[in-house]
Amino acid sequence: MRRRPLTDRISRAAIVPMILTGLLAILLCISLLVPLIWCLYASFKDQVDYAISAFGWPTSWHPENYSNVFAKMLIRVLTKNGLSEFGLFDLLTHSIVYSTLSPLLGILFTMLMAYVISMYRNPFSKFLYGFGIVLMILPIVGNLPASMQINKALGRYDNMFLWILLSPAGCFSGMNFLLFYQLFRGVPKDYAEAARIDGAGHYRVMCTIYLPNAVSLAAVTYILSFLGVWNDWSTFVIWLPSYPNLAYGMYIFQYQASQFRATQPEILASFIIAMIPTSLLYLSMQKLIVQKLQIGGLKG
Amino acid sequence: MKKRWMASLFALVLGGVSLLTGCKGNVIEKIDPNRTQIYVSVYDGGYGTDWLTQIKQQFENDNPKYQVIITPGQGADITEYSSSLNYNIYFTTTSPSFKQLVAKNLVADISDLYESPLKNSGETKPLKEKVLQYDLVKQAYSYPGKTGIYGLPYTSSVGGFVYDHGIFKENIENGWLWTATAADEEAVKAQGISCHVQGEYLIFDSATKRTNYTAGDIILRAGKDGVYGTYDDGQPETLAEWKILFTRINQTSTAVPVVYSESFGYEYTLPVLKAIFAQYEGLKNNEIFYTYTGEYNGRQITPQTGNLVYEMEGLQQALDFYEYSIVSKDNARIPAQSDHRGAQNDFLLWDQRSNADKKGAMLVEGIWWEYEARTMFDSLENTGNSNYKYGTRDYRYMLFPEIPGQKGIDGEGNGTVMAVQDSGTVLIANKGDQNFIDMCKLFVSYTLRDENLKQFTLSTGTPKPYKYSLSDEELAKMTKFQRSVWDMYQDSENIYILNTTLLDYTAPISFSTKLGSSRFTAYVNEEAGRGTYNYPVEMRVRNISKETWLEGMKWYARENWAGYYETSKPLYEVK
Amino acid sequence: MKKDVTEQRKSVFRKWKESGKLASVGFQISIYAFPLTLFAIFWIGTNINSILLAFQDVAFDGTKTWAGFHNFVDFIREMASEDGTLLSTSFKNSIKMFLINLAICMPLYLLFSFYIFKKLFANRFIMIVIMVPAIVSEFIIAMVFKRFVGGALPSIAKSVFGLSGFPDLLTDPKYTFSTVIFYMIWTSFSTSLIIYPNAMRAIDPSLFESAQMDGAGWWTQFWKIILPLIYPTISTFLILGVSGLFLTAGPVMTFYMYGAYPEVYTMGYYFTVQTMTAVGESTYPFLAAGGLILTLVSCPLTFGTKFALDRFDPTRDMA
Repeated sequence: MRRRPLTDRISRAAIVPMILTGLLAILLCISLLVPLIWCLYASFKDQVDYAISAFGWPTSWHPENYSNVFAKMLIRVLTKNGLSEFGLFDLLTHSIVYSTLSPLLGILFTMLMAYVISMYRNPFSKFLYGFGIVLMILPIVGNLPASMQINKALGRYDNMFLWILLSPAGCFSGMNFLLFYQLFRGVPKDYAEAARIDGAGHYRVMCTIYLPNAVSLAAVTYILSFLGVWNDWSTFVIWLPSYPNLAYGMYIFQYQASQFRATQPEILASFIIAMIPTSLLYLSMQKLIVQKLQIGGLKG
Repeated sequence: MKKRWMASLFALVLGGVSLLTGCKGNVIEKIDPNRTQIYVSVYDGGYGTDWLTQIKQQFENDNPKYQVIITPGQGADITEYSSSLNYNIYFTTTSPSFKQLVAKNLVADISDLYESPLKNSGETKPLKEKVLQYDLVKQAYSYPGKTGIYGLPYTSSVGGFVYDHGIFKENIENGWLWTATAADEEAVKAQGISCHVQGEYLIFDSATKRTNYTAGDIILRAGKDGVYGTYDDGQPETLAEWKILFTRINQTSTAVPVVYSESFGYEYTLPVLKAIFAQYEGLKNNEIFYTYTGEYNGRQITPQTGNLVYEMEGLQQALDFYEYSIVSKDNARIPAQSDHRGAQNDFLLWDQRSNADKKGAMLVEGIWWEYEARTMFDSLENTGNSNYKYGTRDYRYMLFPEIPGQKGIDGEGNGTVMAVQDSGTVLIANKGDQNFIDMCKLFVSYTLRDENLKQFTLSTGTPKPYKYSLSDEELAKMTKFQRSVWDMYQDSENIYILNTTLLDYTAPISFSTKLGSSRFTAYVNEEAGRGTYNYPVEMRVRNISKETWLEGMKWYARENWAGYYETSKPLYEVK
Repeated sequence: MKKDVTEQRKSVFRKWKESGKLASVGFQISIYAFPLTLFAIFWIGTNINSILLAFQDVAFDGTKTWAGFHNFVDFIREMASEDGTLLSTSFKNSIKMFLINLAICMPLYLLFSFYIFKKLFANRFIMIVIMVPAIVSEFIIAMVFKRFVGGALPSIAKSVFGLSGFPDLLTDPKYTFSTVIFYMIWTSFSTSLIIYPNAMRAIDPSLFESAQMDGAGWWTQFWKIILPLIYPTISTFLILGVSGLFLTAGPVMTFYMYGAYPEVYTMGYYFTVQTMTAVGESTYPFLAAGGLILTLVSCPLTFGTKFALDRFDPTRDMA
C-alpha cells in the first residue's frame, strides 16, 4: 500500500457530508447483503419449514439441498448428437467459455473502433459516431424471423464459436464504445504527432501510445461485460440451444421446478451455486482495478 | 502485473476451450444415421414426458426405419419460432400463434386421421367419434378458406375451487358439508349402499358399487348428480347454500373460504367467471358470447356488432358470483408470497400452520396442482406428517352452485359447467414431404390408442379430452384427487367441460385480434382507478365495484370493436 | 486524353502516398472492415425489414401491403390520448424514471465514488458489496427481493411493529411504481461505482498534490479537479441515459413477466410486452412505427444533450 501524502487530510467542511455519504453507502450495502444472507441460510431449510416461515432461522439444517441440486439439475436439450442431458458442470463450462471469449472479442473491437473513430476525424467517422447513437435509440420490433434465417444460412445458429466470432457487429455503439471514445478524445494528440514524425506507423502509434491508456478501462468494461453475459440465458434459448449455460439452466430449474422435483430451498441453493464463480472472478479482479492498470501511458 | 493478468486470462480461455471440446453433455439418445428421425417437442407444463417413452418404444418396434426423439419443450412458445418449426410434432399449449402457423401453411392437414379408426390399433370407431366435442374441435382446428383440420386436442384441464374433503368432514358439526338424513335411508339403499342410522346421520356400511365412502363414514347429501358416494357428495347445491358455506367457514374457523395466488390468480380465477356465465346463459348463448354469431333475446348478433354480447344477463350474474367468491376480502385471500406456491401452502399446510396464520379452505387451482405440489407432500411425509403422504388426502373440486334462473348445461336449468384453464394442442409441422407427414400422423395416432390414453392419465393424473375408460383397478392406482377429477370428467350428464380457447379458435375476430386475451378487459373512468385493466381481480386490488367493471367492459369493447372487426374482416370474407 | 487521366490519377495516388494519407486510409479500412461487414450482414440484413414494417400492414397470414403513414398516425393518437391508455402511462413513466435517475442516482454515484476514491472507512467493503447485483444475476436478486417484500416485510411488520395487513409493496398498485423505482436505484450502483472511481484514479495525482499545497480542501478538489476531469465520463452516462429513455424496461420484466400493472409500465416494457404477446404479426407495424417515432423524439434530444454537454466540457480546452 502506498502511503497517503500527509497533506491529504479530510478538510473540515467535508467531514459531515463524508460521514453521511459513508453511512448511506454502508446502509445500502447492508441492505444488499440482507437478501443474500437470507438466500444463504434459507437454502439450508427443509421445504415445510420454508413454507411455514420463509424467513425464520432454519429449525434443522439440510446441506443435502446442495447435493440435490447437482443431482436434479439435469437439462435436456436436443443437440446435433441427439438428445443430451447437461449437468451442472457442463452448464458451468458453457458459461465460462462464452463469458470469457465473447466480451474479450467485443471489448477488443469496441476499443479499436472507438480509437479510429475518435482519432481519425473525417465525415465517415463522424457519421459512424452519430449513427452509433441512433442505433442506441432505435427500438427494433419483430426481427427474429429474419435474423433466424440469416444466422441459419450462415451457419452461425447453434455454433458457439462462430456465434462469438461474428458478434462484434454493433461495436461502434453502446456504453462501452462511448466510454472508450471519450477516453481517446481526452488523450493529447501531440505525442502521436511526435511519434509519427519519428517514423512510427499507424499501428505502432495506436498500440504503443494510445491503447496502453485504455487498459484500465478495458479491464473494467471486460468485467462488467463478463458479468452481464454470465447471466444471459435468452441468447442460449434462442440461438445456441445445444450449449445450455448456467443461467439458462437456472431459468428452467426455477420455472419448471415441479418437473425437476426441486424444492424452494433447493432453488435457493442453486442460486448460491451460480454466484460462486462470478464472485470469485470479481474478488480477484477487484484488486487489479483498484491498483490502477495505467501502464506506461500518458496522463491527460 | 500486466503479464500476470494476461496470462491468467489466457489460461482461463484455454482451459475453457479444452473443457468444451470434451464436453457435449451426456448423450441420452444418439441420432441413428440409419434411421429417419421424427423430432417431437413436448411442452411439459405439469405433465412431463414420461408418458411418451413407452409409446415411442412401441412405435419404433413397429416401424424400425424411424427413430423418435422426444425433447421437453423449454417453455418457449412456438410463436417465437413461427418462421421455422424446428420439430416435426408438437405437443404444446394452445395459443393463437397456432392459427397463424396454419395461415402460413406451416402445419400439416390431419383431417384424414379423424375420418378412420386409428391404424393397426384394433379399434373400430373412427377418431372423430372418439374425440370429445368433435364438432367444436373440427371447427376450431380448421381455417377460413382451407379445407383441412390442422390439430388435435392434447389436454383440456379445468380450474376451479379445490377443497380438502377430510378437513371439511372434520367440520361436519360446523355445517361445512350437507349430510344425508334418516329420511334419505331408502334412497341411499336403493342405490346399492347399505347403511344404518345413527342419531341424525346415516352411517355407511358397504356398497355393491365403487363409492368414495369407507365403513363408518357419515353419508353426505348426494350432491347435484343425485348419486351417493360420488365426487360431489355433501357440497352446496344452490347459491344460497354456497353463501351459507362461506359464512360458516368464516364463523367457525380461522380460515378464509378461498385462497389464490397473485401472480397466477389473475388467470386462474377466470374459469370461475367463464363457468358461471356459461351455466347461467346455457351452452347455446355461451357460444354466441365467444363467436359473436347468433340470436340473443330476439337480437341478431354478428361479428360486426359483436360487442352487443356484453349486454348479456349472464355477465352480471357471473360478476356477482365472482365478486362474492373471489373479489371480496372477507371471503378470499391472496397470500403475500405471490407465486402459486404461496397459495398452495396456505391451503395445503392446514394442520401445520398455527391458527394465528391465515389459511384458505378452498384453493383456486387447476387439476394438475396436486401432481405439481408432490415434492411438498414428500417433505411433509418425511417430517412426520404421514397423513400428508402424496395421494392420500381426499381433495375434491367444489362444484359451482346453481344460480337462480340459470339455463344449465341442458337448457333446462340442470348441470354444472367447469371451465378449462389449460388447453393443449397437438400439431404436425408441414415440411412438404407427405410420406414423412404420414409417419408423423401414425406416431400421433399411437398416442391416441386407448391403452396409451390410459397410460397418460395414470402417469399424469390428467384426463385427456377423448372417450376412453379406466377399470376400477386402474383407478385405484391414482390419487384420491385424481380419481375424483376423473369421475367428474366422465359425468357428461351433469358436467360440461367448457374449453373457451377452442371456441375462440372458431371465430376469426377472437383468434386474429387481441380480443381473445382481453375479453374481460375494462376501461375504468373513475377518479380513483382510472385506467385499462385486463383482469377482473383488479376490482379487488383497486376497489372497483362490479357495476363499474361491467360498464368498463362494455365501454372498452365498444371503443375497440371496429378495430377488431377491421382486422378480422378478410378472414370472414374468405370463401 | 485517356492517358492524361491515368497520369493524373497516378499523380494523385503518389501525392497521397507521399503525404501518408494512403497509409492512414488503409489503416482505417483495416480496422473498420471486419465489424462493419458484420454490421451490414447481421444488423442491416436482419433489421431493414423491421424498419420497413412501419410503412406496411401485415395480414394475419403474413401478407404485407403498403400502408403509408397510418401506423404513425395511430401510434401518435394513442400516445396522446388522455384516457389512461397503457401507451400514455408508459410514456409518462419513462420520463419520470429518467428524471428520478438524474436527480437522485447521479449525485449519489458521484458522492459514493468520491468516498471510495478517497479510500475512506470501509471503502473496500462498499466496493465489493455494491457489486452484488451485478455478480448475482438480476434474476436472483429480483426473486429474493420479491419474496422479501412479499413475505418477510409483512411478517416483520407484524412481529416487530404489530402491524397486520402490511401491503405487498410489489402487488399493491398504490406502491408498485415507487417500489420498482426503489429497486431500480437500489441495484443500480454497480456499474457507476466501478466506472467513476476508475475515472477518478486516472487523474494525475500531482494535480491533487499541488492543490493540497495550495490548501485546497476536499470540496474544492471535488468541484475544481475531479468533476471537471471526469466530466467526459459523466456526460457519457448522461447521453446513455437520454438515449435509453424509451428503451429501458427497468426491472419490471423480472418482477411481472408480461403481466405488470399499468402503473409500472414504461416505454421499453410496453414494447417488449406488445411484441412478445402479439397475436400474429399484425401489431408489428404499429410498434415499428412507434419505434421510429420515439427515435425521432429521442434523437434530437440525445444529440441536443450531447451538443450542450460538449459545449460546457471543461476538459475541451485541455486536450
